[in-house]
Amino acid sequence: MGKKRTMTRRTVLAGLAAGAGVTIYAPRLSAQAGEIAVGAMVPITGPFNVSGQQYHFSLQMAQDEINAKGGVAGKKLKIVFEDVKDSNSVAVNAYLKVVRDLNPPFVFLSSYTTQNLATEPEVVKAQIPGMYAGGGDAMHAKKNPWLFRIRPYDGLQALALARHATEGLGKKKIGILYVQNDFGQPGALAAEKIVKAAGAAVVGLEAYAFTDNDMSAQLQKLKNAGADCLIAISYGKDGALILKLAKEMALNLPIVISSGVMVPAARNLIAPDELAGIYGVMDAHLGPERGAAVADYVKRFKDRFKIDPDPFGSCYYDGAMILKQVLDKVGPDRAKIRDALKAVKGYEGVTNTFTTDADGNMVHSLAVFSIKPGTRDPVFLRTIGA
Amino acid sequence: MSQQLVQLIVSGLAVGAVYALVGLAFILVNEATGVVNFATGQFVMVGCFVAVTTVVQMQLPLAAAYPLALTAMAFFGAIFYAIVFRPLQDRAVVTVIIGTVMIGIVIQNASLITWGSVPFRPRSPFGRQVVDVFGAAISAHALFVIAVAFLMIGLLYVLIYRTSVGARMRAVAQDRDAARLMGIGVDRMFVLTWVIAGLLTGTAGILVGPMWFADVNMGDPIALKAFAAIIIGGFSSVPGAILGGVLVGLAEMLGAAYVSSTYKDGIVFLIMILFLLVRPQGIFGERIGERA
Repeated sequence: MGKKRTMTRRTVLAGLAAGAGVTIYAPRLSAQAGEIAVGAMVPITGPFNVSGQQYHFSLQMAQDEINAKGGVAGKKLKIVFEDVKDSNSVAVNAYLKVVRDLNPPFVFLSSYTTQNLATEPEVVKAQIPGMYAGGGDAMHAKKNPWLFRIRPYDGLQALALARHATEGLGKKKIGILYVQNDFGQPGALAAEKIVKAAGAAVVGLEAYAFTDNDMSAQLQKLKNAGADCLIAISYGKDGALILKLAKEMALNLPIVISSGVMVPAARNLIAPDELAGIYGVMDAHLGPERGAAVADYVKRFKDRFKIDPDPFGSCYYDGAMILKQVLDKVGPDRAKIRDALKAVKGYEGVTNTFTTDADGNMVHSLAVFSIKPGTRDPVFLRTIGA
Repeated sequence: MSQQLVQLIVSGLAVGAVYALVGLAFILVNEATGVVNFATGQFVMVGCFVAVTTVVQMQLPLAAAYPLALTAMAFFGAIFYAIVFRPLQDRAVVTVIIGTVMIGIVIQNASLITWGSVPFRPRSPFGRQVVDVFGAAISAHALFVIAVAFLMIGLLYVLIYRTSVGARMRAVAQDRDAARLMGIGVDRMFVLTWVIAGLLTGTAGILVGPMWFADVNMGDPIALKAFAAIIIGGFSSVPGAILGGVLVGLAEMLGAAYVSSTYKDGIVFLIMILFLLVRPQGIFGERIGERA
């Protein structure tokens, strides 16, 4: 028999002290002389990491490329990454830490609306310009003059989905399936309005939870309601599950689906025949037909990170390049950066053309794709703008 | 029976069978050790990803890949016992529970580092074959899930109630000290309990991968529903876990179809809360107080 271990009050206290020490000790962020340090709130770990990884990689690549070409405003650009996980409180604390330690001229915010909504009041207090990629319309409704969105807002996506289902495919009885959160629900309601305005009927609105693994009941219900086309507002994995189930259940309905499932990581989960009859909207198309600059970006990204870039993360690459232009022009002055970002017009990035509107939205169109039969390759169909 | 109802019932049974398997892992560990293992969801996730490694990454034939994955999960259960449960087993229950929560977080993040954040789709033994059941198109894999889950449950039942090893496990569950005095190797029974928990959750993980895809965040939602299932069925009852799992699976599917998809999960957890208020021991279980 081995010696039985006992826990004394001293060992408990020592353990608590060690645990507290580890928790409390977090190295202060800092920037060196000759650097301009900006913050980046990235979901590096946790469930949001699927898109967070692309965001992280895109900014790493942008930072290195900018510094290889002389940096910004004569200094080296340092992007300080803080993990915001999948928690609003972690996101707020990460933002406060970056502001306290770095006092940066600029901060990239999360790619998730819930985290950005939680952080937004701190941005108002700190008066630090920032860019973000979460699509929720609730963000631009805040009218925060310090924040700029670098991908299409969700209302625009709902417009594209509804317009393609009605005007594009000519369907008259639309069923809408959506993820039940602040992305899916407003999107579904916005799509419903647009479908009705186009003279078509919405035969059903069905929701599922983000963590659900089986949406067959909702799909069956929409089919039974007489839908001749489905609009699905989903993220990546759940969207892939919807398409897999639709095929298994032999729904045989065209499905117009939101951008999450069109990224390579999600598309690769779906068999080519499960993608037949599927139309997707995407923030941007990174195909070779977009030109040499986009093709070169994709190649550089893939060479470095061994995965395909997706538009959700790549918009941060564009954001960093816009920031470089602004910093080169006005230096690290927050108000001047904000004013320069407000004045962005017609910037051609790898994902989109960026022009800032009164709400701080910089992107104003989405692309609609079908899938090349027998493959997972998207085929560009049309652009739908606001 | 309408085609839609058949579709929903089979889907509900497949989902419920998975919850039942995971619920049994909860019950087994709780009965033997008196502790709810809050890392059970992560056990399912690891089982799924071990199968990803053997099936997708190593490209082994399924006849070799599945046994290899299950063997790995048996070891995983034993290692979990050795490095998490055993050092904590004489501590207060709350310490052990917090330990399982913390190690669950560690396992999830270690899995994120090991397998990455991009989901996988392991193949099913039946490919994407669909069979006709009373006019409804049913995935062959869903039927396979139901069959395998109930086979595993049957084997577990035989082991616990029809073998001498099962009798010793039950003796340890009833009174650890008395079992030790009777010459039963309590530690060996603990190891066996965790190995079986690894096998049950590993089987659940292997089964759900082709159906729901493998991603490192898949564990907690499954564990949460399985937990609801055993509260409904009875926290100390094998038949209760089965019935609870099936009820939760069917409530999800039928609730979404005939009541409201928006409140689908709310229906399940409302049923759970009603049981906690009206019949806290569940359908087959005994009151916690009665066990003392």
